[in-house]
Amino acid sequence: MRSVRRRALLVLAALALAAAAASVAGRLAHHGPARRSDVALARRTPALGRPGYLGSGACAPCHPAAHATWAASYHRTMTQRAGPGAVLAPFDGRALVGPGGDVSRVERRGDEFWAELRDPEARLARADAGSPLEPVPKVWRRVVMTTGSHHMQVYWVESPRDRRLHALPFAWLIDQARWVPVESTLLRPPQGDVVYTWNRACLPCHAVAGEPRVDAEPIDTRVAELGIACEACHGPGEAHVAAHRSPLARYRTHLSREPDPTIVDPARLDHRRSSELCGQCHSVSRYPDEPAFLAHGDTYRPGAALGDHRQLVRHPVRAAQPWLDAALDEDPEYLAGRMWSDGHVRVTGREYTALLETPCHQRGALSCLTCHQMHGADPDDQLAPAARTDAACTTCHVLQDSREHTRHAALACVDCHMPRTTYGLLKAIRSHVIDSPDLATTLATGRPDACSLCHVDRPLAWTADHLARGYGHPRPDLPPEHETTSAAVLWAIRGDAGQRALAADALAHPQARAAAGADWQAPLLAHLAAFDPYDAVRQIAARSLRALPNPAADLDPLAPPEARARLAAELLARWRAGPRPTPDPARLVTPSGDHDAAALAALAALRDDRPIDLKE
Amino acid sequence: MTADALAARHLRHGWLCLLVFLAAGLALESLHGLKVGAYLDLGHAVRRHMWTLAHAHGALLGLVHLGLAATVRAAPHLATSSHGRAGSLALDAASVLLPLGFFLGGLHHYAGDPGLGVLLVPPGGALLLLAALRILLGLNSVPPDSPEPP
Repeated sequence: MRSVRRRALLVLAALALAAAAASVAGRLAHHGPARRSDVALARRTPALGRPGYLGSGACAPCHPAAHATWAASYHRTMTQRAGPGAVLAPFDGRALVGPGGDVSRVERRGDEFWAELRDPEARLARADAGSPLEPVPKVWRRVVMTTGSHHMQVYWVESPRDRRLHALPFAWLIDQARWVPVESTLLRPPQGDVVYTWNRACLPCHAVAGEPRVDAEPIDTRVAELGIACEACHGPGEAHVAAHRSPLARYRTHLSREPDPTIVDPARLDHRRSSELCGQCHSVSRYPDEPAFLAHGDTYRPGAALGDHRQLVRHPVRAAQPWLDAALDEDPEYLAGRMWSDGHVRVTGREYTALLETPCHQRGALSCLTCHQMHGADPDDQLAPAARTDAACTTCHVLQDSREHTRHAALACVDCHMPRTTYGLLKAIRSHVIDSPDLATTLATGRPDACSLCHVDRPLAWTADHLARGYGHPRPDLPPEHETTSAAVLWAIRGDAGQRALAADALAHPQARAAAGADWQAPLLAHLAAFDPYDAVRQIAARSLRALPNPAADLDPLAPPEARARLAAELLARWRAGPRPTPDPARLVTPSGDHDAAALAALAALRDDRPIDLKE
Repeated sequence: MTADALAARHLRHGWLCLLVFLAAGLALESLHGLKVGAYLDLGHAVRRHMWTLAHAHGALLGLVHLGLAATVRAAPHLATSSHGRAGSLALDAASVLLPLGFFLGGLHHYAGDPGLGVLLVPPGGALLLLAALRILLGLNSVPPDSPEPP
């Protein structure tokens, strides 16, 4: 009896042992390849770790709320190693067709993401040799890193040699849930063959304390942390953490009124220094010693004077900067790609340069932090509560009667003083030079004025009369077309590509629809979405078309030209079948309420086709 | 003080502690239930931690008081020994300092650190340790009227 029980116990023990062994083996079998995959990912992306930096993980234990609000921001996810938690696009085996008919494929293999594309290394080698980039063989490369998580996501494939990263030629538009060629996301003439690499151009602003080391062989790019993390704004944290291990030191800091010397608190810097923190990325600037930057990274650290480490570019009409001549010799379009002719910034992501031209910053105490906060704000624009109302302005600009000043029932200060005249990310964005509508400037620079971006059905003559009556502005001499045709229509149809993009965005903006109606823009936007030579302008026009109530039509702005033309014709026919708008030649509506195709064709023939390449 | 009086005192203190700190526990649960930001927000993680500790220490100290009351009943000589009297006083003081220190430390706090009220906690902890030691020594000491071992 006892031996039977012992045997049963032995069998049970053996079964338990076998189950445990199987479980461990299963775990190891799964863990091994996953670990190898992670190691490969780490070897093919920038190495992490710079002297003096600890990474955001070191901040979380003492500053959990600040860490959590940063973790919820798009700054954190600007650059990520490619993994299931980071990649937003479907890597589902689909074929992606580029502008020249070239096909790439994307697929997922377990937790890895792969793409088939023309060998970027071979293309670069051919470019170095001065040969045409095509044809080169296709290769499968692992996608190892991502850029962006807000508007679009760009993917970077590994180099088999080192830590160099090449862009997959397709990006994922997040709001439209659509793959598009990377070239189509930029407002520039079609470039043909371009191979983008991350290590030089993207590294300074999309990682903390980057060190490109692109002249080394093999390339050994290093960063303190991927993405824009705590130490990008607060400075290297190692000394701070070391100093505050002691509770006595911590309480000394808590009880002191003086700033903690071991870390930078942007809120305690003066308005210039705190804005410079943002300006390290959000500016038009150059490295005074490019080879030193490529070898050792940026020398700027938060809290220092940015101008000691960067050449902060301002337009020659705003400031004399002799060193700018060298940049212009290198690239004569350097300024045109970034600024309007009066020095206002015209591309997004350069808001600090715009702030430098703003009197409220020059003579007042306006800083980036007056309107934006990095912790706890809506991640979309990171606006502080004061900036969601007029409070950011009215603390200094006290108006007895704001309605008397604005002459509108419901307008915010920013609607007139920060109009959407900056371009980027396939949309119009508010200018960060704070100024007032001035038609003389509009005529001289071509930059749309705030009034015409809402009153999209009105000619500049109408605006000039209102500004003269309401604000005593002198009436400028207007060209005849600005007496008769809506300014927004003129910019949309015969402006340069930058103006067309802004006008296409404005024509169906909610404020414009409220001020000017929404029943007449469809033919104009269909024309832009179908026939504009710039992919970016066509995409903006197509998005505006979708915002119009009738006809609800989707015109694929990246379809082949003949398909776009057919879709535009169909859309026009549907529009004609709907309710007709009020006749108004200023918005190209004939007395019978039809679209004035002849007037549109006449304007389109005058389109400003000078190449525009906006460097957002 | 007689043994009965000492035991009765610790019974009162024990049940008082339980009343106060079980009520505090209910209050903390209400803060959870009502999703009060001043308690639950990540920026107040220190407060949540400190007040949880105040509740837990206070309630457990109540049980310790009840345990001491039972101990005094079982070993009445504790009431007359210096160890027993000192242990009793130390436990009383610890029962105030420990939960109060945690509570004040969470009431006003810094990023990642409790407020200065938390300075009451180390002396409170030391007094609790002292109470345990003195009561143990009191239990080991021979009562004056105990019969001589044969």
